[in-house]
Amino acid sequence: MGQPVRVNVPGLRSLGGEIVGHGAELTRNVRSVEGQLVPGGAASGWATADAARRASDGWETYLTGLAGRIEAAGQSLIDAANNYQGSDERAGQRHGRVRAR
Amino acid sequence: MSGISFEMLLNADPEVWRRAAAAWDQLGRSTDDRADAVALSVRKIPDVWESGPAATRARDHCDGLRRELDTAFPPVLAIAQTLAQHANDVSELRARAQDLVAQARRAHVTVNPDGSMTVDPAHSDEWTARSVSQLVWQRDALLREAAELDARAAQAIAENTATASGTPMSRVDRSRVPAPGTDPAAVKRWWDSLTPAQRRYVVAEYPELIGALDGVPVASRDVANRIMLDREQDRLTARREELDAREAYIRSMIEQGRGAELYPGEPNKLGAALAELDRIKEEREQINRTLRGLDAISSRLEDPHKPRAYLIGLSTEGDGRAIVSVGNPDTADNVLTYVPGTGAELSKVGGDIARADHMATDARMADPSAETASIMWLGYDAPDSVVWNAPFDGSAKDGAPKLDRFQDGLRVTHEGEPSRNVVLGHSYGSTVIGHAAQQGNGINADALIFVGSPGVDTNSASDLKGVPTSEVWATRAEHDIIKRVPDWDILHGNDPTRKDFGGRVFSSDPGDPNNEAKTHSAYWDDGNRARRNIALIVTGQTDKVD
Repeated sequence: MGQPVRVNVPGLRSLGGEIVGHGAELTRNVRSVEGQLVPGGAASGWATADAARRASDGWETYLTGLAGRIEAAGQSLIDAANNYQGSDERAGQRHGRVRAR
Repeated sequence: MSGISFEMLLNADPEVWRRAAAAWDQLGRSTDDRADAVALSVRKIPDVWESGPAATRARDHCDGLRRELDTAFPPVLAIAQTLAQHANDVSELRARAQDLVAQARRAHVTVNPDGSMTVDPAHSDEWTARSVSQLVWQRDALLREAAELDARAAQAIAENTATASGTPMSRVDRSRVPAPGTDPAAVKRWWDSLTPAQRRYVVAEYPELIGALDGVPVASRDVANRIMLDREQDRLTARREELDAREAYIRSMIEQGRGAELYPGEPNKLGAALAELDRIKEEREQINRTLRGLDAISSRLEDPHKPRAYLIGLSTEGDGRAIVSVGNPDTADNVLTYVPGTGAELSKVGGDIARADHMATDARMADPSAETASIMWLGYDAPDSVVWNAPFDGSAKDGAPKLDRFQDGLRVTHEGEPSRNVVLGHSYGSTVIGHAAQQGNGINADALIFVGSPGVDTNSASDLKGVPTSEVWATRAEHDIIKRVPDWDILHGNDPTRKDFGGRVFSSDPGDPNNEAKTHSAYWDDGNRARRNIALIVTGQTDKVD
């Protein structure tokens, strides 16, 4: 038989929530600089301004995607915790029916 | 011709670029903070999910996301640096365009916003025609330079722009990175051989190597050293928390009367506890000192109200080392390297950075048309004590080759026309320079400045190689305590302000006769005429020095 898996279900759920929070915070970080990464006004016409615009689009897209993946990773930990709890409860119920007999 | 018009130069506004640079800096910092936060969470996974393939996969996946955040920082910071530099370039281009308009007006020529020129009919003669020809040439040269700077900045940003999968990196084996101490010219050749993706890789993966390599461009060393600064601040803060927890545990066990359980097998348990508490206290004090210095550096790097600073070197070993530049020496017209003296260490670096800031400001006032970078170079282990260490030349001998290599590195990474490089030493810092200028081919600089020097371990300016004697400068305030150091060869030789030293002397405020120690450090006080003279030397206006 393999080694038993030791899981602190509430701890894993909480840690999952923490990681979801990091993803959400990253999304907020990106939004907080929205519109500020591209120099406006007198910068019009400079190739550097065009490059900054493309860079802004690229980074905002990439980081927003990464933020989503971080949130999803956190949610996976929460789901894992819930699955372990569910399995444990079901096992407990089956054990209870056997004993009742 | 490119898309840059004369009108764009006249209307250029450096502030819009600086604001954008600040926003990219903010994005970089917050991304780095998220990386640290995810790293902390990843470390907790084994505490709540001990084993099994699913736990391992989850941890590896989360750590992969942490790595993505980590590797986002260098290219985002590179964009911030590029935009900040572009702001400086745009400011200079605008000033030159305005100068051209003023110059033309004096020659009775109007330079129109679109760059075309109109001669005043009342002054239409051969002389004016020649002036127009010269003005057209200057205008075209200015527009060409603007187009080149614009294209370069746009290219640098494009190389650091993320795609849907981030910024690609190409692996470079650690063994391919030049060893510390490698000739800067060889380092630069190696750096030039790398692709942008490879450069991103070595900065992200080997910041402790890249940040310390003379010959790597300053902007990239800055990115690498900022990564190291963040890591050191996190490491030391975590260690301090460990020490606090251990101390609290020891005290709690003693208070509960369970001290004996702390050191089983130790005959003198109370003695062992007290000794450990002493060690904890000492280590924590050292950590606090180091963090004070690191926090001072962070604050300066993040200060949006001062010119951009670059972290060119950092070490927390021993008393620590730091090299902070106000302005980018790779693009500046003038580069000042300031070497502090006895007592300088990482924990007190804030004061020395402030002096570098003052000298940058003074140089800008002395010559607003030129860009001056002012570097605080604590790249050596300065003596701790005026009495016990400073009379000896061990620190200077050790620091001299490092200073020489640093100056060589500045030359090889500088872009465009060579800058005017000036090396200034205060107190024992001047002794380090003296040694650097006497070994090998001498020091790679255009001028040397000795401020409040105890001697430079030679009695003649002509022994200082690499710099003509007409560019060896010295000053000593009348009431500077350093005058009490005898001119003995067994110490550091003659005061370089002596006439027979053969250098040039400039004036500084006399100082306070009742406080000679304070006078030794007063050269950078507001209004001290030493500051004006230093600025004139740094900007090459040596005929105005008094």
